[in-house]
Amino acid sequence: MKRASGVESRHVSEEVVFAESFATDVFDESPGADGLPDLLEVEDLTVEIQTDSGPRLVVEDINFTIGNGKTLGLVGESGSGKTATALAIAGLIRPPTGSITKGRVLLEGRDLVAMSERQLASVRGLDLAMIFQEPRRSLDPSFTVGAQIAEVVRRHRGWSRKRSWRHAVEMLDRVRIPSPERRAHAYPHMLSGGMCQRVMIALALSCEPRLLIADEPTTALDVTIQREILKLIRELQIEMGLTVLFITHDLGIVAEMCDEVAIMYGGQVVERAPAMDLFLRPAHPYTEALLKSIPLPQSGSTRQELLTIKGVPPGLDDRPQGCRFHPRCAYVQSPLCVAEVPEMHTQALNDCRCVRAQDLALRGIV
Amino acid sequence: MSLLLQGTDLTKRFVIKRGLTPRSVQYETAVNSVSIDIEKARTIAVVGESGAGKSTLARLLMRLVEADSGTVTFDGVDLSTLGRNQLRILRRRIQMIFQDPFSSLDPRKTVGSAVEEALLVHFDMSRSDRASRVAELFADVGMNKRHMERYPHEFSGGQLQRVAIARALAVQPDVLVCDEPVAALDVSIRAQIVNLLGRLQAENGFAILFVSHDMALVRYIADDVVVMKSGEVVERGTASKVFETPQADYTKALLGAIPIPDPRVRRIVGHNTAGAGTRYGGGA
Repeated sequence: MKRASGVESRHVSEEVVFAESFATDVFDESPGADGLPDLLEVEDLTVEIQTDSGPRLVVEDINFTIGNGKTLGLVGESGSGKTATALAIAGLIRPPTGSITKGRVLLEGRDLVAMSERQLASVRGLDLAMIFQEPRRSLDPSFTVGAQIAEVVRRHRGWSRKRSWRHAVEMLDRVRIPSPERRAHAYPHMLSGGMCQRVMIALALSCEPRLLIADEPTTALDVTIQREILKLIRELQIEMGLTVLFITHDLGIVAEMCDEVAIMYGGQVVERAPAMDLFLRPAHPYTEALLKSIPLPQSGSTRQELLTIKGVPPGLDDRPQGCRFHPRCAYVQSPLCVAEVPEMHTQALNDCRCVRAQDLALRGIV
Repeated sequence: MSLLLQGTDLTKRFVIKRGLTPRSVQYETAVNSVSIDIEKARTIAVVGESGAGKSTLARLLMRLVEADSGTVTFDGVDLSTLGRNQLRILRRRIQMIFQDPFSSLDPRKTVGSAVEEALLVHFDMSRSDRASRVAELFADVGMNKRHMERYPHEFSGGQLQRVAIARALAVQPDVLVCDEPVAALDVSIRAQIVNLLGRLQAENGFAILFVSHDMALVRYIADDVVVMKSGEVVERGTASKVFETPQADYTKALLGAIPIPDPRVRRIVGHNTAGAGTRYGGGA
């Protein structure tokens, strides 16, 4: 499916607008303030997967939006459903593995859930692209990296081999790979992990998507390389007007990268807020506990005890009744918290799922 | 300050390419002339990025890997002079836990019997004494009797790491070597394990050699820090000295690269950088 030229030019002009708005006001925390509609809207997304012991809901009633050109951090521990959410948004969860049982995923107003597999295949890569934790596993070991990027461009844009190859080299240059012409002929095993992640980013952005889903893209990398990759994502975001869904468990990365944050626990979003509000004034006890349990690199003295959250995050089969976090919560009140799953409601500037939110004076980072 | 385990000028090269003639063999030097002192009841952290040689150094100190040159002495005894049996007796006093507890426990044994086995190998105890000691160890690491009868697959990573700690401490070691013990665990579990190690150390007085790439975490637990890069030590000192006044450029770069969980100090791409990069005395 080729994009109409009118659409193409609209994108270009919007990109310029975003680039400017980023340059001048990166800290504008309110999406949609620029008068543009949200790029991604996730409404009541509920995903079921098949397990050995029958169908299980991995994510329930997920709601969030990402403003054009903004970054939303989706944060959670293992089993919280953050990756399932990302895969569902990209249309990568389908029978027999699982299915979306409820909800809509609107990308620029178009519902991805209602699309056919064929329509989706053209959205993926063209409008929406993903990068993952282990770049080498996402690259084909038997083709050069240039050929892999060129193939994507040829397929989605219908360009000639020659033009696609030129574009591939250009993309490698854009992700700051030195001597891109030579590196385009390299196979993935010849490149380091950080270089492979750059190649993955080049591949993902080769068709200038509007939305980039980054699922723990730096978890397997060393901290200095991680910093380079995060910087690269940030720079390209500004250059290309990208909207980013950033999935991570690292609150440090969230603080560095994200405008808005959604915290997931036990398959639900339990708190959603602009980054500044979430870190300084958390509304959900889980968020507060997470913030307290991470070591702060800038803290003054050594050898302090970290605050802990008792117990372990629930698995798919042992999600508790009522509030998912209540067995581990320091502020639990029975039977209030156990009775039913709390609704998402607005508490100051944050949205959260905690029935006690307004009675609690929670502390963020100081 | 009393010296317990000491590595002096340790060097280890690994063959990365074999050849027919000695000259065509290629080596990679994993650890290059590194010395390290581990003192009683203190925690020393070895930090660095992948390939820095920190795990190899830990294994050299335990003689799990034989050094090409250099010596390891434990309590005044040169480990390289010891035969198999003597080494085995000494190993009781140096225990190790690893990053992935799933692969360090036998899937066909209950976790209780895995801990009991350590007692069986190293001590002459009656069956009932062993059973009560195992129960005691489980209680020490925050688990209960019910857990003893279960198999590794029935546990989460954090719980298994507790079992691994119980097994290591069963033989009352003087040194506990921890190779990235929390890297594979969830954020909320990491703090539990780190605090547990600290508490057990305070109670039992063993020394900890903590191998990690997580600088922020190391700051919370270490007394002393050794920073490694490409097989060599680039900086060492007390934790507060290394973190507050880092000398080597590499240490500064490492510290500067840690994402700070505070949206008021965003440093990536250099926008709004007022005060950024100064927190570590001019990090990257």
